[in-house]
Amino acid sequence: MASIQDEIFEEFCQRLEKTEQFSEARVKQVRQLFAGRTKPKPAELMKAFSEKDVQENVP
Amino acid sequence: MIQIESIQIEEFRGIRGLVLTMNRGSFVISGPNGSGKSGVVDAIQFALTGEVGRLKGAGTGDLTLAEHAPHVEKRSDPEASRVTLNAYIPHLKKTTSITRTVKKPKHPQITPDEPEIRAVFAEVAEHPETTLSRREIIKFILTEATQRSRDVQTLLKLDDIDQTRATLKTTENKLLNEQATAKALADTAEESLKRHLDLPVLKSDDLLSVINKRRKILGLDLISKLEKDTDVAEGLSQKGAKVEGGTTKESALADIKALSDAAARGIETTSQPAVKGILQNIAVLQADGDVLQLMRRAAFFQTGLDLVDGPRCPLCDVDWDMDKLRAHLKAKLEKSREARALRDRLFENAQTISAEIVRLRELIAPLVRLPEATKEASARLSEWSGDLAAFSESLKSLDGILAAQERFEYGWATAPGTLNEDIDSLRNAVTARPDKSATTEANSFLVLAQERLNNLRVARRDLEGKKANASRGKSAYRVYCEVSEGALIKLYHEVEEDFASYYRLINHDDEGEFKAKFEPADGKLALLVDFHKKGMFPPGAYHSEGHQDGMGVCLYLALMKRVLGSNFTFAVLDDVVMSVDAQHRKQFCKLLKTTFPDTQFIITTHDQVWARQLRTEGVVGAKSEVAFHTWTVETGPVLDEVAEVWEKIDADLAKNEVPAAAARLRRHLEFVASDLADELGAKVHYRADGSYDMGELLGAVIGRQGELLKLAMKAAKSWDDKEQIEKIDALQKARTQILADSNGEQWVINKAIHYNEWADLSKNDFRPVVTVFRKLIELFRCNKPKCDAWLSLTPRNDPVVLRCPCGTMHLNLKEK
Repeated sequence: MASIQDEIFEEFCQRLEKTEQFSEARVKQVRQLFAGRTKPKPAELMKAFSEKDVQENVP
Repeated sequence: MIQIESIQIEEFRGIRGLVLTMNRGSFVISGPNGSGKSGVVDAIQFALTGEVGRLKGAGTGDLTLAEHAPHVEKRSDPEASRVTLNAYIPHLKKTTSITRTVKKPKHPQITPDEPEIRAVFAEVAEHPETTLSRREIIKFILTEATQRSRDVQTLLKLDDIDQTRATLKTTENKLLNEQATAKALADTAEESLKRHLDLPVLKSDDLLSVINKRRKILGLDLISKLEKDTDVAEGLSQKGAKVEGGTTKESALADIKALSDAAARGIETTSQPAVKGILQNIAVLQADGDVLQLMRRAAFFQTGLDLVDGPRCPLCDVDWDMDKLRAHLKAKLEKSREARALRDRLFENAQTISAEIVRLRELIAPLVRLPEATKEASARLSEWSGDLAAFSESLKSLDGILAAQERFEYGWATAPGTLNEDIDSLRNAVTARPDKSATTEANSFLVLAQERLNNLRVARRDLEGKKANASRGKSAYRVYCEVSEGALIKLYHEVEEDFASYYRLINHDDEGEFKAKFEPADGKLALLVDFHKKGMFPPGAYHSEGHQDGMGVCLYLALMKRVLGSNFTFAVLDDVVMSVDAQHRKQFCKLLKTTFPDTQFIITTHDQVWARQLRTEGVVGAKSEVAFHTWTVETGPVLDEVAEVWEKIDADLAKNEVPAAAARLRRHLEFVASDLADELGAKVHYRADGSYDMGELLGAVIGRQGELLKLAMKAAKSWDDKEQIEKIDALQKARTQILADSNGEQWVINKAIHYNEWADLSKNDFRPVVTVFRKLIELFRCNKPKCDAWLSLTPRNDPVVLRCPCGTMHLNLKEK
């Protein structure tokens, strides 16, 4: 039986996937971080939330 | 989860040697205080978790499992102190056994030793709450909201939710800090470009107008539209003019003015609130050294907590009680919460100052590169900028912030003392710069414009990236809060619904419309309950102790249902309804039987009436009980095992141990006579101390049975119920025969053959006594093996039927 925390985390991931900000790959990365033996550190989550190759139109 | 088949206890707590067979069904252990019941509870808990709850927690500082779990006579032999539990695993359909010794409590022997069975026992060990004592139930009811929130969250295994939420919040804050730094860089880059272009506002058209003015001078094509990769200096190299770096005179003067203005305003002016905040927080830390220590170690405690997965400390390898170690680390983490909030405020203010440093360094940089800057002035400005950079870097660590206290007090910017003079001399030197030709000036202008435009583009791209990151951090935190709060509200609602419905079932007579409400907020969990429709109040406000006990058990069951669902296959209830009155305990039996039909309850009680109710209400079968009569250090509990008493008497007689058999029969009859007198409403002289003579009770029971059979026969005849008439007739004949065999009812209570004298009989004289009592007792019991319960009157006050719980025996007592 999944624990309540697991249920919350699963819904959290599913909700993230539905947002435009989080790609499937990024959510997968978040899942991997939380699947570890120790809980992720903020620095690890920052890395997971950070994006490279951002394109922008400068006037 | 599991169900218990049997348990074998050796030299453990107050027990020398004991085997109890539970057959996966509910089981009751009754006996007076100090008779050894709790030893069984401890043994079950020990077998399943390797720990004994009674030997840990508040007020147990000097107690240890190793020293105090073995029987007092076996203190030096922890190997001899052991518990074996035979169990059935419903979802695997497998039987298994687990043995633990006090010597190696964390290394159980599991048979068969299979991974899936080990996993089941590991899961059971994670749920020590399957053993519940009164001390534990009441903690959910009579406690302040913060502690209730922690206890309930611990029971529901929700401890990680707060931690995850805090980690996501810290992540969001750090990403916002990065965004703030990027914003400062982008703003500075924009200011720098605007200064060079001499534009108050950066607009595409204005920028192109300024640029094209220079391009026209140089004969370059005009730029009609500013794109993301437009090079405003494009074509300079073809004209052979490229690329004379440096600044134009106007631009250099604008840069000098920018730093000069900042110095005149006061370089630290805008950061004053942040500096004040840092100094205040440092003062708090200095006033309480523990806060700083907790702050430094918070992450360490969390990591330690994450890594606790065995009986040894992951850092120093010292043996620990796992639960104690976890509780120890959790307490430290809890204490460090406020410290972490203070640390967050420190970093937030430090970030504001770092952003100021970014802006300041961007004002210094162009001046260092001016050709008019003397070597000394350039070195001083460079050194200042370098110092600011190092200072900013140091503000990323707690130690760095604390070490900078003096710098915050006396001025963090530490501008060179010659700053104004250097600025003045630079301004004079640049002002004296001879005017260049228009084309040279235009060339330099375009080169620098392109450089600063590029800087702005890079800074803005970085800012956009950081914004996106911060936005993700913000979303993740918000989504997690929404999901977890939604789940918790739903969870608490389910629990409060179940809790209230269980309580209503128990108290249907006077609180049939009982309601309950959980109110979670800010780490607290308030519980309000209805009091006779007069309003919602805390449980301790008006309800009696008995009602509070009832609430505690109901809340526990509601929580367990939510935690384990269909895996709630067993629980140990250790004297949990001692304050609940008899009528409500009867309803509690109904709750257990109807709401949790698949859960095995191991129930201990000092109250014979409650034990009896558990049987008559069918929660436990007649053979699923054991009564502890007394306890001695030498023997442990002295018990009457209803299930096996006749086999044990036979065994005693086979060994020609008549005194042992006689003592066993006597104890059993005392137990049975008291039970039956209650079940059948037999009339005896009331004694305030409850010390009824066994012969008197048994005589009254036999007489009452005769009366009831007569009443049943009369009723059956009035209804012309031939089947019942036959059945009752058979019972009456059997009874007559048994009593005849024992020389009539008077034999049983004949003082001349008093049970105290049985011990003096020979084996052959005593065996018929055993046989007749056995047959006599069977007359009062349902003969269906699965039921095997006493017949009892229903309802008790004005009985209309004599029946057993399964209904096989059902004798109507009311005439037509």
